[in-house]
Amino acid sequence: MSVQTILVIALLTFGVAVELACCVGVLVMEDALDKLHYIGPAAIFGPLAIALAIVIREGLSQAGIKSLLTAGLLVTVNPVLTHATGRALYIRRRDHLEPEPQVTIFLLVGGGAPLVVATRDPLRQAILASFFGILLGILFFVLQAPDVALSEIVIGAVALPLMILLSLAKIRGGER
Amino acid sequence: MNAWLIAATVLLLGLIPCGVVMRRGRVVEALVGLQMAGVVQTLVLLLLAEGYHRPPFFDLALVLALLAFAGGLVFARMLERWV
Amino acid sequence: MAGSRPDPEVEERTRQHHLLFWLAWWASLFVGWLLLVDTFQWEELLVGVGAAAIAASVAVAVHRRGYIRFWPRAGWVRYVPYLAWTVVVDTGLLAVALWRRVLLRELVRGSTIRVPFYHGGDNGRDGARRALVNFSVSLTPNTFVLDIDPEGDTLLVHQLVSRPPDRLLERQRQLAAQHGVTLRDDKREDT
Repeated sequence: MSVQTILVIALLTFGVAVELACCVGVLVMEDALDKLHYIGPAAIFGPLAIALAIVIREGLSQAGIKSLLTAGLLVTVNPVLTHATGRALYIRRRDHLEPEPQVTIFLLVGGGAPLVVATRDPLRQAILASFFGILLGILFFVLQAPDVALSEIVIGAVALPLMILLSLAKIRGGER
Repeated sequence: MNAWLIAATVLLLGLIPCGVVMRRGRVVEALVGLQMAGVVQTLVLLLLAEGYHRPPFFDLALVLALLAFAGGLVFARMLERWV
Repeated sequence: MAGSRPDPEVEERTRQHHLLFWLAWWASLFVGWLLLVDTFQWEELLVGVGAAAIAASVAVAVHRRGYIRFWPRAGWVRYVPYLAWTVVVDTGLLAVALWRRVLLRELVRGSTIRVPFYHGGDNGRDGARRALVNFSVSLTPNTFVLDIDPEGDTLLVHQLVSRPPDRLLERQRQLAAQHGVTLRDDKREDT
C-alpha cells in the first residue's frame, strides 16, 4: 500500500465520518436553529477532505479541478444559505407564523390538473384523475367546506374511477 | 469495489437521518434536513464520479452544489412569510 | 447629482473605469471557463469568449445602476487566518456538544445574542462590511447571523455553545460604540 493510498483512505474516512456525524447532529438536536449549526462542518470539512483525496489521486486534472471547485462552492455558499434559513426560522417564530396549507394545496391542484390532462393512456389517466379528485377534496376541506369535500372524495376516489374502468373494460372486452 | 464506491455507499446512509428529520420534524426542521441532504448528495456524486472514473459526473456534482443553493434560498425566502 | 452638463473629463474617466471593470470580469470568467472545459479547441474557446462577454456586460450594467455596492477594504484580509482557526475550534465545540447530547444524554440548547452593530449607510464600504461580517459569523459553525436590524443597530447572532463574542464581533461592537450605538448590555436570550 503506497503512501498515496493510505492518505486517500484516511481522508475519505475522515470526510465521510464528519458528514455522518453532522447528519446525526441534524437529527438529534431538538431545536431547528440548533440543527442548522451542524450543516457548517458538513459543508466545510467533508468537501475539502474528499476533494483533497481526489486531487491526490488524480492530480490537477479535470477531475481534480472540478472537485476543488465543487468543494470551494460548498464552503462559500453554505454560510449564505445558513443565514437565509436561520432568518426564515427567526421571522416565522417572531411573527408566530404557522404553515399555510392553502397555498400549498392550491399549488398542488394547479400543478395536478395539467398533469391529468397531459396523460394519454386512459387507464393511467383514470388513476391520476382519482388522485386529483382527492386533492380537490383536500382543497375544499382546507377552505372550510367539509360537505363538498366529502362529495368530491366519494366521486373522485370511487365513483369516477369506477365509471371509467367499467367503460374501458367494455371497450377492451369488445376488442378481444 | 474500490474505496470511493465504499465511501459513497457509507455516505448514502447519512441520508437516512436527514429523511427522518424531513418526515417527522416541523416544516422549518424539514428545510434544515433538506439542506443537509443536498450537501451529502453533492459529495456522494463526487465520490461516485471518482469511483466509476466518469469525468462527466464531476460536472453533476458542481451543478448540484449550485442548484441546491438556489433551491434552498427559494425555500427560505418563501418560508419567511408566504407559505 | 448636481450639474446640468456632464464634465467630459469625468465622463472619460467613468468610461475607462467601466471598461476596466468589464475587462476584469471578462478575464476572470474566461479563466473559469477554461478551468471547466479543460480544452483548447477553438470552438470551445469561441463559446467561452462569447459567454464571458455577455456575462461581463450584464455585470457592468448592474454596476452602473448601482444595485450592488460592494467595496471591501484590503486590510480585512487579515481576518482570514483567524476565521480558519475559529472554524476548526468551533467544529470541536460542536463535536463536544454532539457527544454530550448523544452519549451523555444531556439537553443541549443554543441561544441568541444581540451585538451592537453600526449599520452604516448605503455605500460600498458599509455594504461590504455588513455582507462580510454576516458571511464570517455564519461561516464559523458555532454561530450564524439571524438578522441585521437596521433601525435597532443590532446584530442578532445564534450560538450553539455559549461563548463571549469573539474578535470579529468585539471589533464590530467597538465600531458601533464609536458611532454612538450602545445597547443596555449584551443581551443573551434563549430561543
